[in-house]
Amino acid sequence: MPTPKPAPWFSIAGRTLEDWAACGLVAVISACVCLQVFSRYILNTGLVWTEDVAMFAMTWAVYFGAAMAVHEKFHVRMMATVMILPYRAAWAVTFVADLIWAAFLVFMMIYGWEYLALLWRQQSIVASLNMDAKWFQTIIVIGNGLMLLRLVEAYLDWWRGDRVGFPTVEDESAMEL
Amino acid sequence: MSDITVVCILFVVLMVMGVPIYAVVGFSVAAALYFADIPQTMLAQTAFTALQPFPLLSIPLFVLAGRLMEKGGMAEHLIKIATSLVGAYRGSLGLVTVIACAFFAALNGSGPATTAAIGSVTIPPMIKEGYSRRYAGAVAASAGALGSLIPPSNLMVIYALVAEVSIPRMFFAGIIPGIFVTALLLLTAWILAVRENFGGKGEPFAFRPMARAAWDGKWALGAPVVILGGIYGGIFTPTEAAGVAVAYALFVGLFVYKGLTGAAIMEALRFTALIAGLLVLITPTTAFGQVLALYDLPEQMIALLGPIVANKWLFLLFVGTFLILIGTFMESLAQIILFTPVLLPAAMKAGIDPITFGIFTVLTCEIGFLTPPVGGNLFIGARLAKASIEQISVAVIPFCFAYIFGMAFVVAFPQLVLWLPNLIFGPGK
Repeated sequence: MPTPKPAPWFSIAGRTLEDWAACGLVAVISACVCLQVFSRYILNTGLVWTEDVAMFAMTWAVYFGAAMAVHEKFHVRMMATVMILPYRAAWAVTFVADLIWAAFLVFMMIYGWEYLALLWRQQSIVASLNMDAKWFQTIIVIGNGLMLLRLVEAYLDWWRGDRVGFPTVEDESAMEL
Repeated sequence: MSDITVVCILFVVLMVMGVPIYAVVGFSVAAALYFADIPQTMLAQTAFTALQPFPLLSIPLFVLAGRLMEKGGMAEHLIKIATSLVGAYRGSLGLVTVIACAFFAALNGSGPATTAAIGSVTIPPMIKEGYSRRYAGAVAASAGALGSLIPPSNLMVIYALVAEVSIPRMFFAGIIPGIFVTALLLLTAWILAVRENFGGKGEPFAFRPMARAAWDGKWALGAPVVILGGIYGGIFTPTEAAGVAVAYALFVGLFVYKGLTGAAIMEALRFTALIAGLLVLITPTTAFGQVLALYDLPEQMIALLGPIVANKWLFLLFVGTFLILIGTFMESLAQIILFTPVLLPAAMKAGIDPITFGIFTVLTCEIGFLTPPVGGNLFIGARLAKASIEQISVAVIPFCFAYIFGMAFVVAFPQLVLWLPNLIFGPGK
């Protein structure tokens, strides 16, 4: 009997917060781009803020989506060579690969933080939104941090569950579009 | 060992170990930055700025529009139109699948999505009418790859961004090769059907039923007119066209064909968010491109390839084989982002126009969709036909030749590839 999956950390109705946020942001991107066309042709006024909002929403959606992809085992990686190995060896290599992945996420958080510290010394106002661009850039640290969180969670889930398959890689035969 | 050799070895080792490509490229860039004594904050900077280009937004928007159109009932209408055209021929359902995929490819930008949208409707009746599962799955998988060749196309958007060429030009350059490959796929599907004696039970072609199906499906047929017509007429940018496509798909799905439910919309948003998540790949790869230039890697590549670059044909044969091989292992989006900056300068040195090279690259990716172990279309085709991946991978081989001939076509007649974009937007630089 498969153990029922525990609810993910920081989730509402079985779906992670970044899942909800990413869906919302995709909707915002669509709405902004449509509004831009609508305002130009129907209202005959170009809106300035739609493009900026859409672009910032995109950056955040990508990082939230990337964190979702960790949870959904959807990240792009080349598993062909690893999967030739017997299960235990493949598991071990994948584990080391995931440690390297985690190290990179930590690396990005550290340098992202340093970069933000540089940005914090100056002002760069996005005119159309009257907001400092640095606030949007915090996603570098937040996004990589979220991915790390979901990566750790995936291993914990695997450990607490029935410990079959791989914590972070989808079994090929179960691949869904 | 030179610095660049160390970076290359690191890249290959991490890749083969199955480290996610995001981290593979990230660490390779970090190593290169370290050797070049450039602060690592550059990686942090591109982590944000690489996602800023406005045209990039067209990718999630086209994905969303495609998903909404699929769930909203457009696929069924396109299949009806295709049936009215080729319903009576041998292997008619195979031919219908190819034509419907070509139509659906003009509404959305992804290969696997096209296979799923059309295959899920045409594969079950094929199996019911006695077509082999292998054939049914292979037709849908191979014709679905048209999704990336017939505009709009997500792969073309990515290529255009990396190669710094115009997206509309890329889109229109895909049309003639797209029609050519569609014709070859039809031919292949027909020959195989005749050989295996699959039936054609539909009505013979007549104008009235065709006109009737086309009229019923006018909203589905209207989508490419809006998308490509809008770009063609300069009414909107590709990104705006993608946004309009989303609105159009929502409107038609909710009020005309009424196939869309709240749950389907939510699912489409979620799917789009996941695909958007894959784009995180381009954050380190943008830095990768800059580092490559810093190390003069494109120049070294040209020097390395030496005599091959001197001969356009030899070069394309070499690059084509290389890209197809890489494509069997690597996701196509990643393949384009990683190899375009390295190969394009050499291609231009060999006298190949960047747009033509883009179509060529996209074609190699399509073959990648159809080859194991990493072939998105194969998995979906196999799943829908309830056949094994091995069976479909073999059955798909004759169809791969359509794409290989497509590559040869692009190489032999670049003027035909460029004819449409030049006609519409004026001669390129």
